Amino acid sequence: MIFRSQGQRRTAHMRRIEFKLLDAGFSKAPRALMMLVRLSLLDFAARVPRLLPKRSLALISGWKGGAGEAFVELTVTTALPKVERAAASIQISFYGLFGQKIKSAQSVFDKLGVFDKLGVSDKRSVSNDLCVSDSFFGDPVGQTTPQRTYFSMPTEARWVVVRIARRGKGRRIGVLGSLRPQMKDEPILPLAEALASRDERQLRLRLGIARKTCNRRDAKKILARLIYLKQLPGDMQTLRIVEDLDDMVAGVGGRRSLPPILTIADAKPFIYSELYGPVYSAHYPLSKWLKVERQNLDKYSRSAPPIVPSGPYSFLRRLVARVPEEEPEVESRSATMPIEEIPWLTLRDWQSLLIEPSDSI
Amino acid sequence: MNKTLGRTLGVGGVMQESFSEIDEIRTFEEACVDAKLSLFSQGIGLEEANLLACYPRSYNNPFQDMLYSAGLENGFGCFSVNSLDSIKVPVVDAPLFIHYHWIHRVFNQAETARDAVRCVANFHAHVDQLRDDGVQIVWTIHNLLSHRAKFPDEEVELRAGLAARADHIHIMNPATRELCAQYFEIEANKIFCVPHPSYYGVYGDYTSRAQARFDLGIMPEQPVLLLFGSLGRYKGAKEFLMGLEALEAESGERIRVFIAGAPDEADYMEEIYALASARPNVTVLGQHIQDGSVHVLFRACDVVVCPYDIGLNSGVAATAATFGRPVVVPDILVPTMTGVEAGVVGFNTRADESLNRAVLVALEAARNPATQEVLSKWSVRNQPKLVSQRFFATLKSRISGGV
Repeated sequence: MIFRSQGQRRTAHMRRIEFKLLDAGFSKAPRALMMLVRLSLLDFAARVPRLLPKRSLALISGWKGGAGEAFVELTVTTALPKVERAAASIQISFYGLFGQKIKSAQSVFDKLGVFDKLGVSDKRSVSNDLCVSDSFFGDPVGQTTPQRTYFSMPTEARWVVVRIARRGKGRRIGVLGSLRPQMKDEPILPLAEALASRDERQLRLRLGIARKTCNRRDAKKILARLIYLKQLPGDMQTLRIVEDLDDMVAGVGGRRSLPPILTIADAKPFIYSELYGPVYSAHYPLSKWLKVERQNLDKYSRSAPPIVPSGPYSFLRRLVARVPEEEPEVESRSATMPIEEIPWLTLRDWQSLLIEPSDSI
Repeated sequence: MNKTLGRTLGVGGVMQESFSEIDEIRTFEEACVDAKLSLFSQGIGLEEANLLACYPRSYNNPFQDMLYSAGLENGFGCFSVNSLDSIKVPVVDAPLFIHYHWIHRVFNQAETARDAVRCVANFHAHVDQLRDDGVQIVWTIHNLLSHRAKFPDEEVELRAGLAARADHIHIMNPATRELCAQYFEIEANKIFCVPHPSYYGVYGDYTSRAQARFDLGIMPEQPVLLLFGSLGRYKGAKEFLMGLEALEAESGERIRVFIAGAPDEADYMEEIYALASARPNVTVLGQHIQDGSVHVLFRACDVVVCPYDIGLNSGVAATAATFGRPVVVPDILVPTMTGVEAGVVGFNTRADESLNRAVLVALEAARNPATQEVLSKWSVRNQPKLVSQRFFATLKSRISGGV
């Protein structure tokens, strides 16, 4: 019997894996070609499916498109029988006409504050030298789909360097597609396309729109996708906040709203004109904030429904005290209009929160 | 909380590494000598001393430590062996027992069915050789078949062969013989039943329910379910998540779910993450939970759910009972815990809605303080030391009775 060391066994195993990709039509680049690739002058896998070598590869592209939304589209294949997270990483850096590194984001969308207005930011790592990093999923052989990574092309960019690397020494990754950035006319993908994509930027743009319009249904889909793809705690918390509001509006588990304050005929009316605790920050579920503020209110106004005058945070105060707004003020606003004090909540939602809770889920 | 669990993981990892290294360094002969010296120091005479070598050792599961905890005082020097090849006739003069546990590990190196057939033949030959050398064979049947049986036919043959060769077969589920009969026969006179021990005194237990809930970000009144243990397909976490919406609709409450355990196959974990990502009330702690953190999860939850598709015994169910938490298990597992009827709720693995119904019953039971009391009493009654004493007492009586 021939004994093989662990290292030898691993090498043999990796060879077997590599053969799987070779069988699927991927090839190693010839030596002469690799020399040009190493000079970052040749688009490595633009037409032919290639195996990614150990060392990272880059492509320098001239850019005449000006500022705007651009993307790189690649098909990444893993030799493993299952989807592999972060199988390949990509890094995009931008240079001016004379090769100087561009330091900060200067895209039209950034200048116009598109992302700021939507209340979202591009959360991928951005250093002082403007550089966008992202990763691609590796799909098993025969189950691949092209993946895009979107980014803002700075105004001054004349040269773009796109660098790709496989993550981890032991991986065998095949790639097909051009490292040359392409222009995207429409900055935001339709929702269905964004959900199908694995692009964080597009999903965050759609999330911003959902937030602006208080569309919790879309937001939940987008957040679920983002959590699956990126597993970021911030997204998990936002989903909790959105679902908490949904539960409150739908009356899940009797959490729709707080119980009405007891009415006692001869009690002196109490004026609830300002919040007792800090204002709701929207960084945690609203139901928790309501419970605490209601505990505070109950200490003072136990015996009669309070009077809730208009003023700062009147929506929140009315929600705590379960006192609806006067009719004329409500009618002057659209029911689907968001309430500034409470993200993800429309006036209609707010009104429904003041109705008696139902026990249905 | 993830970070806390992670830190604990680091400390525990070092400990486990050290113990496994000790076992790797110490040869079989030295372990036999050490065992004999330890027995002698306990006042065990030459005629009463026994050596018990167990295989394979599980470092992530305290079961073997629990089962052997009363070994020395009962005249058994217990130690583990890392490979079957290392087992030899002891240099010291004492009867040797080889105690097999999760024997499917003999297939670890097998890549094809042919390899597996060879592994079976080698294993049986190895056991025959030991028997010829006067070694007594003990086998604890943990499962009908291993959970991830790569070679089910060969594994049945492996088990059947060991059942035929073993002198003593330890079972923890009274129905083991009947359940195994679909695969292989076990002679009734070889069997002795000693239940799975509780985890009384095994894990830290100093946090209160309220504190544990606060630590995990759970609202005081929210119902909480815990799925604990390695996240293999057979553990049914995916099916449970798929039925969670229906469960919530039935209960009328948003239920918080914790799924905690070492991840298994990556593609299965992807399915779990995909399901959990849309549910903020589901938290997946995809890592081995170290002993120091176990009590936080069990104290925080209301009910422990074991939605397994098959099983013979469950350490998770015993852990739940130890912390006074009702547990939902497949019907097949209910007889393993006697005297805690309200605290162990069975479900029919073939009926879709049975699991959710059982969970609702268990949640109701959790609201009754008597349930916790009954479970705690079971835990004390079946604490490791007492179960270990029962195990060795039974084994000794079998030896002296010439069984």
